[in-house]
Amino acid sequence: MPIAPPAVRAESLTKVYGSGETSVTALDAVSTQLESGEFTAIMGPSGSGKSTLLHLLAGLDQASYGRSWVGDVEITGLDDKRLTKVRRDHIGFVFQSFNLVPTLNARENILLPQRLAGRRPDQEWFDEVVSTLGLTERLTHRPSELSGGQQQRVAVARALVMRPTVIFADEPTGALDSAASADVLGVLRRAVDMYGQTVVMVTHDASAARACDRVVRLADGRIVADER
Amino acid sequence: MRTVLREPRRLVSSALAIILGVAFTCATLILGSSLSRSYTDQVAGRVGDASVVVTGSALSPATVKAIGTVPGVTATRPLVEYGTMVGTPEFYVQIVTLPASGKTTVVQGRLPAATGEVVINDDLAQVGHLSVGDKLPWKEGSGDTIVGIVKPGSAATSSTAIPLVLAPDATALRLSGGNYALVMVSGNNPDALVASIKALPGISTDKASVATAADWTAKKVAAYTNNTSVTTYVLLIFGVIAFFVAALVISNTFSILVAQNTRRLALLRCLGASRAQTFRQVLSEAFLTAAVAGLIGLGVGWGLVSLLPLLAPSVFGAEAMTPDAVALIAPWLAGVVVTVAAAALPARAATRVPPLAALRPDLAPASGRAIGAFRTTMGILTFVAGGAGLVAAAVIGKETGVLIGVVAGVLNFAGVLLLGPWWIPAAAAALGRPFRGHIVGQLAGENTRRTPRRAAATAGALLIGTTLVSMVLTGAAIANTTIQDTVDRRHPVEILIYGDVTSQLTQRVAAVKGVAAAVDATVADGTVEANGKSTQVMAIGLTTAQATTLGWASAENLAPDEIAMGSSTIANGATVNLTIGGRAIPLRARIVPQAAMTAVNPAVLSTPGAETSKVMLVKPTADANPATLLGDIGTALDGASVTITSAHAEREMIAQSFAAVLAVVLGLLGVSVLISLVGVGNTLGLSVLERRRETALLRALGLDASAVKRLLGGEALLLGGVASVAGVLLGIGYGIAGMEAMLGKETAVTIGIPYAQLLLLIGLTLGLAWIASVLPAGRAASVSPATALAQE
Repeated sequence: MPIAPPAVRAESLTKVYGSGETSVTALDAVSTQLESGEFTAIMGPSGSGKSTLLHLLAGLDQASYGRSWVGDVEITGLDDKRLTKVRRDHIGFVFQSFNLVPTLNARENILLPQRLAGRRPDQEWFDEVVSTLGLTERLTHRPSELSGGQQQRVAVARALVMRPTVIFADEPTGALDSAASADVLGVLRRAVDMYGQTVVMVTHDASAARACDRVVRLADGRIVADER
Repeated sequence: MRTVLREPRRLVSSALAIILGVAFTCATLILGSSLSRSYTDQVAGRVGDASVVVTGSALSPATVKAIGTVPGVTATRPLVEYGTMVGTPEFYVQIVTLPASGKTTVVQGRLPAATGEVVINDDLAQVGHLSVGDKLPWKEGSGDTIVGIVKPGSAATSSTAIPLVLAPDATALRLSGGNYALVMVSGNNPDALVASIKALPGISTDKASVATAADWTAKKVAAYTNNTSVTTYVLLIFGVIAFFVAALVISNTFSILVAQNTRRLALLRCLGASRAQTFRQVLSEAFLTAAVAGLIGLGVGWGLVSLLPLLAPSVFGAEAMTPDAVALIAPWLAGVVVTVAAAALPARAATRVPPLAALRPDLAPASGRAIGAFRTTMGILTFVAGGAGLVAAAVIGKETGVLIGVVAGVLNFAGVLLLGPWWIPAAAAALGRPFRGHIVGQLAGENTRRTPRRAAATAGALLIGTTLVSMVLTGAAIANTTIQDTVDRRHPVEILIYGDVTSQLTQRVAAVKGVAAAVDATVADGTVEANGKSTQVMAIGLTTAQATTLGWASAENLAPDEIAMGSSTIANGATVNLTIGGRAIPLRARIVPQAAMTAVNPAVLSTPGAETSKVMLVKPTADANPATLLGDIGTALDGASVTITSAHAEREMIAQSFAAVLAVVLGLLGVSVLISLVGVGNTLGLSVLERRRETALLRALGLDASAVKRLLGGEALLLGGVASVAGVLLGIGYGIAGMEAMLGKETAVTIGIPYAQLLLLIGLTLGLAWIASVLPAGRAASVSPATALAQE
């Protein structure tokens, strides 16, 4: 049983688009706790609200009702400046595609959050992450010179180097072939096992879910299953 | 409205460029034709119903009577129009006959009712400090009282903006010295009348010309229109520049729009649109934009021109600002043609989108090859050829040189623009290097480099404006300093006083604070002949003592057979002939380089027949204030009948005319700069759209909203910085070459570069570029990380 406080917490988190007759409730009063040091998958069919939940938990979007926390920082109700700061310091992202800034090379992309925070990078940790992810030879390459799988690994390295409270991954293997997918999942798994990193992944891929410690299923904006 | 290039909103900045260009051209044309028409009305007003016009400088009343007796003449209307210099200080005034009819409006007082009464116009009241009840302040008019201030109508005189005295026939005739300037003759059969009047003896003695009213009017209007045409053409050149810049902006806009709509265009091709159809679709959107924007531009131009009579009522008549067909059709047509032509290349690119592109995922804009071999070659060729031409122009000089210079300048600049995609991104990167440490700085620098052609087009449009402004500023500064030097050289001393000069007056002046030396000397006007050329000079008879007092070492110890003068063509020791009083005196030339005075031994001037006079040469101390010094000297000489001339006054006058012309030219160029800044905002705005996902990613990773704004601002500053610095450098080069070509053959050109003004230009351009980025930056900053990252 994990002893540390939950990495992510949601209380009656709700998101409604539109108003009146044409309103759509993408997320309906979802409450949950995601433990730290765990690899959690959020699954569901399209339209189930899984991406919405991820966006709200990550502070990428504002909830209509309810509250959420990352670590012990409450996300809901923060203004843009403070929210940006939380994202910078405590949250890592891996998206399905378009993860990297095309004008920067791999090394610069990995160190981007640090530069945005004005923090000096921990060289040892950087070297370890880069070698664990097999990116040592690719550091000077631009995204256009990397394969899809390599780009995702750079994105993961970027997330890891920050040592965030939680890494949110939105369909990270969605655009990859099976070999590259397995690769990226393995990397995420290793991050959880070796470094105690908390990872929350949205996916529709059942095989991806198998790499996780816990699977939360959504349908029609509500949690319908929660398995370990 | 179905558009292939998405929303009409995207085309707003192209529309703005067209509006500005069309408005400017339309305003120019309306102004030109209105001025001609109002002048024509004015002349017609003067002629009235006369059928023959007799003009001369001194038509005697006897001649006028004789004209009246010619068979067929029903009436004669003699008019006085006599210009003279009066007053202290002197000013020009014209005495005209008060028209019996015509729109003379009384502003103050009343019209003359008896002899000895006159009215004046507002200009004379200002210049001569006169008001109702004063007497005319000069000898011949000292008996006449001003009874009113009027606004003369068109029938009074040909130019209403000069100081005027209007009086009934008898008074005007007396004030003009008893002569008329025109006679308006009414009668039938103008041609026969002309012949009969010409036969009168008085006509040939008075040296008068006779013409039918129609001919006379036509000639006057033609002369005036010639003058205004020149102005109109000059203004239209600025219009051409504005349209050229607009063309660049529009071409750039459409390229970006086509690139952004690749998928939609490809979809249409998939569904069966042919290449020709796609081409026509893009062009028709360009046409529609230009058509609508052109109409708005016409309205704006007309509106602005209509404001002119309100702002400067004395110069512009209110009824005159109506457009004719040309003023409306030509600018609108130009706008449409320029837009469609500018959109042609991007439209062709649109047809090259393969239908397959609809099935591929979103592609980021392909930077591709920055610049092709053809363009590079053309660019280098024109740049080098133009550069060589500029040097040649400076060396050749005169009209040919200036013509070569203009062509060479255009070629050279074309080369600069053609090579843009190569040097502009590189320059932007170099400019951004100091800021690379900061993440926003690095990203801004990288972003400017990723689409070289687009950066080149945007900065290029701005470059045109900055280069022109810098060239005008430099050229004006050089011309001003060169001409000032010429003035200095023309005035042997700072202050020259002539008239009843006596040694007592000289002593009075010498005692004035600020006067270093005052010397009275004898002078004679004459000519110096050498090498077959003769130059007018004022020969000053100087003793050695006087030369020393004035500090002119080179004029000391002049022998009776010597003449000290400055010349670049006459050799030292050569024999020249000084002709004064009809006698040529051979003298040995003592050449003093750059000297403005011509000095001889006083004995030379005692030649019989020489008309000599005395002048006072005044040299001020180094720290004397020119304006107060003149005032003090004037006070010291109060009551004496002398005239004071000063180099300072001439310099001031030149500087003022320069400043006035410069302001107008800069204002006209401002239109082009404005259009190019619209282009900067436009490029940034469209690139914000393209980079939504990237911006959202940066926001997600921790770039806050104000940093995003700074990013956009940084890109604008880099482009603006490249355009302004390069523009200043190019402008300095063109300005120097131009001035050398124009003035180099006549005088030594002094290169004075207006550093302060050029720095101001750079600062202003940077500031305006930043402002152009504010709207796009706001839009970029408002991108929500989530919505932009949603999978499409």
